Amino acid sequence: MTKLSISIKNLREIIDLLNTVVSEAKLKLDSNGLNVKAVDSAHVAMIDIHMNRESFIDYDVDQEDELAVDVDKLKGIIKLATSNDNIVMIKENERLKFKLGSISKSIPLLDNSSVLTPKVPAIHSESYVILRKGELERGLKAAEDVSDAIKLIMKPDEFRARSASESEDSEMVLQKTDLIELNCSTEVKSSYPLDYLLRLVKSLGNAEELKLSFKDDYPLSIEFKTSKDAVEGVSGFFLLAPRMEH
Amino acid sequence: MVLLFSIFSDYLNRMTDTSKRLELKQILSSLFIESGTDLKKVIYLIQGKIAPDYEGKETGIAEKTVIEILSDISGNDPEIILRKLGKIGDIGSLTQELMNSNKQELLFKDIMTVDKVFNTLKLISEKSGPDSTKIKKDLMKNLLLSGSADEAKYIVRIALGKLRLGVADSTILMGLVDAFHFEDISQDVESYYNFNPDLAGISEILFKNDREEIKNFGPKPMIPFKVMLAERLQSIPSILEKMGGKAAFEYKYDGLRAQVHIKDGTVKIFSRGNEETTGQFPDVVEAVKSQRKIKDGILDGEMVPYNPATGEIFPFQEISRRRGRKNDLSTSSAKSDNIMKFEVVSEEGKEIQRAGNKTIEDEIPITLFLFDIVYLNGKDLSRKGYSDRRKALQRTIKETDKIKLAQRIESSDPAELEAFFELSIEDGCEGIVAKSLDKKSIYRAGARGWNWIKYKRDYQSMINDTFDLAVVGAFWGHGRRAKTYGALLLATYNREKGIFETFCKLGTGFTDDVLFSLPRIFSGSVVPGKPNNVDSILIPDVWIYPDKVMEVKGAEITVSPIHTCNKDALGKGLALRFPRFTGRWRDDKKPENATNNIEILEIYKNQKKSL
Repeated sequence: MTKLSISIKNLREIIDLLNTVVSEAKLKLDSNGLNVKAVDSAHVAMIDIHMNRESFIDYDVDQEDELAVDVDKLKGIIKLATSNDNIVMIKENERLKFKLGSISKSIPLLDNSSVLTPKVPAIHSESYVILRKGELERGLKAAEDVSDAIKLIMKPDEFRARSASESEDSEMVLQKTDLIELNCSTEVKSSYPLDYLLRLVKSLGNAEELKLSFKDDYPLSIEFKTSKDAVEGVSGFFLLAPRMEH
Repeated sequence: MVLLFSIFSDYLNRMTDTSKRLELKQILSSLFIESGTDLKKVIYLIQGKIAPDYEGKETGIAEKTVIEILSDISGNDPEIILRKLGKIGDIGSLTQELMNSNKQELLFKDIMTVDKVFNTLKLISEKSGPDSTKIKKDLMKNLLLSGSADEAKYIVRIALGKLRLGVADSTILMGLVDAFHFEDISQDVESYYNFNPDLAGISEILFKNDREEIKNFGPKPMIPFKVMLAERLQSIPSILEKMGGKAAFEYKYDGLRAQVHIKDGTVKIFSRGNEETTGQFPDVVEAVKSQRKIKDGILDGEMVPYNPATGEIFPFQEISRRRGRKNDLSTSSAKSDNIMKFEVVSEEGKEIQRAGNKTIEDEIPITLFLFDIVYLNGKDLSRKGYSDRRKALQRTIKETDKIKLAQRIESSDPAELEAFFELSIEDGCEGIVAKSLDKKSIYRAGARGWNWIKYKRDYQSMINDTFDLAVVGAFWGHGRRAKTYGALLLATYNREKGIFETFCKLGTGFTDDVLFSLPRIFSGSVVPGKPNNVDSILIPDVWIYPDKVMEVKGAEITVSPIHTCNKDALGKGLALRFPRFTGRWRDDKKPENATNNIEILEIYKNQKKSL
C-alpha cells in the first residue's frame, strides 16, 4: 500500500512546478523518494523534479509505485488546505485519497499507460550563471510587455537579458559582482519563449538561487532547489528549447 | 511498415499538380500500396478528415488558433500574420512560408509518420475541459515543428478542414480498386460504397481482400447511405416510352429527404447528405417508434410541413424554420423566407424552439411521406424490385397523421397521368416521380438512373426545372454592388471526370440581405487559385472552392464559347440563359450532387426537339 504524508508547502511546490508544463503527470515513487518528469504537449519545455523521502513526514511505499494524476484536480485539493496542514495521500484501488484536517477527498488515478514519461534529452553547457531568483524575475518582468521572446547573453564578466520589438526594448545587465557565480569563458547567447520562463519563475516561490546553463542557440537548463536545507524541499531542473533566429 | 508523413505529403504535392483523373488514380493507387497498415488513416487524411462524416468529428482547431501558433513560432505579431494571410489567401501556404523564417525549436522530435499525425489530430479532437485550448494548441504546435515546412502546410490544411485536393470520392475508390486488384468486381465495390460511404472502412476490406464482404453489399441500419436519385424528362409520354408504356407515379413532395434508420428501438434520421438530423425532428422520431412492425429497418421518404386537419402542404421554407440560426446571415435576414438556414442542433441534439406557448412541433407539424423501404427486420430489400418494396412498405407501415405513404397511381394513360400531375401541383408538390415496375427496378443507392424519372414544371420558363449548381467563383460588383460580388460563377458536375464545369454567371434573384452578405457567405471557401477540380475558361476575380450549391432557374440552354459544361461532347460548352437564383440554398446537397452535365445535355437535346 502506498501512503504518504507531506507538508502542504512541499505539495504545493510540486504541483505549481508541474502546472507550468503539463496538466497530467506521473509521480514515480521509489526507495529514494519522489520523481516526476514531464514535457509539455509541444515539446518546448520539460521539468524534472525530485523530492527526497526524508522530506515527507511519512513515506510508506512498497519498493516502487506510479501515480498518474490530473494536476488540476490536485490544485483543487491544495486550495482546501490551510498553510499549516499536512496532507495524507493513500492509494486505494484506482483512486488517490487525501486527508487534510477534517476533510477527506479522493480523486481518480489516470491510466498509467496514458501518461508518458519523457526521456530527458542529453544537454550539456559549460557556461553557467548562478543568480538570485528575484533578479531574474525582475529582468523577465521588464521584458513581459515588450516581446514574447527574451535573449539571454552570458559574457566572462556579465549576464544580460534583452528583449526587443519594433517599438520597445528592455534590458537587464548584471555584472559579475552582482551574481552569485559566473562561469563563462566566451560570450554565448540564445533566445527563449518568455511565457514559459515567467510561469516557471512564478512557481518557484521559495527558491532563492537559480543556476542557468546554456550556449549559442541551445536549450536552457535552469536548476532549482526550493530549500537551503540539504535534504528538505523540492529540487530539479527545467529545460526550455531555444527560439532560433534565421 | 510505417509510412512517413514526408512521403505522404510528397504524394499530396503530386496530386495537387494534376487534375487528370487517370493520373490521380495512378498516384492514389501507388500511395495506397505504399501505405500498408496505415491505409485507413491515409484515406481519412486525403479527405481532410479524422472519422467518417456521420460521426461528425472535427479537430476543433480554429483558424484563429493556428494564427496564434504561427505567431508563437515565428515571433510575428498576429496582426501581421493576418495581413499576410489576406495577401496569400491560403493558410497552408502561409504556414509553409513562416516555418522557413524564425522558428521555435523543440527539445526533442518524434519521427513524423502518418500514424503520429493522424493520432495527434484525433487526440486534439477529443480534448475537452478547462485546459484543452492550450493543450490542443501545444499538440498542434508540436506537429508543425516536428516536420518540414511542406509537411506543416498540409497539417494545417487538414486540421482546418481545408485540404481541398479536389479529389472526388469516386476517384479514391478507383485508386483502391486499382491498388488491390478489384477491377473484376469494381461495380460491386461502387455499390458497397454507395450503401456505406466510408472510404476508410472500404479500404480495410479491400486491403484484407475480403471479396465476399464486397459482393454482399447492401444497406445496414444506422449506417447512412447515398439515397437513390431520379433522372428527369420533359413530358409524360417520353417517360412512359422510357418505362415500357406503364409505370407507377408518385407525388414528388417538396421537403427534406429523410432516410430513417431503426434499430433496437432507436431511431435516427439522416439527410440526403448523410448528416444526422434526428435532434430536429423529435415528433417524427416518436411517430416512427410507434410503428409496431419494424424492429430493424430503413425507410426512405420526404419530411414535409403538413396540416393533417386540412390536408394542406406548406412551402418547403417552413421546414427551414425548424433548423437553427447558426449560419443565418443576419437577424433581419433570418426573417426572410428565401434564405438558407443551415441546420443546427443543440449539444444534446434535442433543442426544440418555442414560439409563445407552443412548441415548434405544434406550429409547423411535419409529416413523413414514405416512398421506399430498403431494409426490414434483418432482410435487405434493396435488391427486390420497386413493386415488391412498395408492397412491403404498405404491409409494414400503419399510416398516421405523422407518417403517410406517398400518393401514388399506376397507369399507362397520359391523360390520367397529366391529371395526376396537375393534382400533385394543386396539393403543393413539386411534381411527380415515375417508378419503373420492372423486376430489375432495384434500389440503387447513390445512382441517378432511369428506374426513377422526375417530372416537374415551372410555368414561367421554357425549361421545366430548376438546376442545382455549385459555386466556383465570383466577380466583384460595381456601383451599388461595389462592396459585394456582382455575379457568381456557377458550375455543373461532370461525374466521369470528377470536375466542375462552368454553366452560367449568376447575378439576379438575390434579396439585398443575401446580395450584400455574399463575400461573407463564401469567405471560408475562397481559394487563391483555380481549384483543381474546376474547369473554366472564364477567370473570376475570386476563386471559390466548390462546397455550396444554389438552386437556379433559367430561360433556356444555349451553346456558349465561354462555358465548359459538356465542352468535351459538343466542342463548345453549354450555358444557361437568364439564370436567376430561386432563393433556395441546397445545403442538403453536396457539390458532387449538383446537376450533372449529362442531365444538362439531355435537357438541351429535348429543348432542341421541342423547337
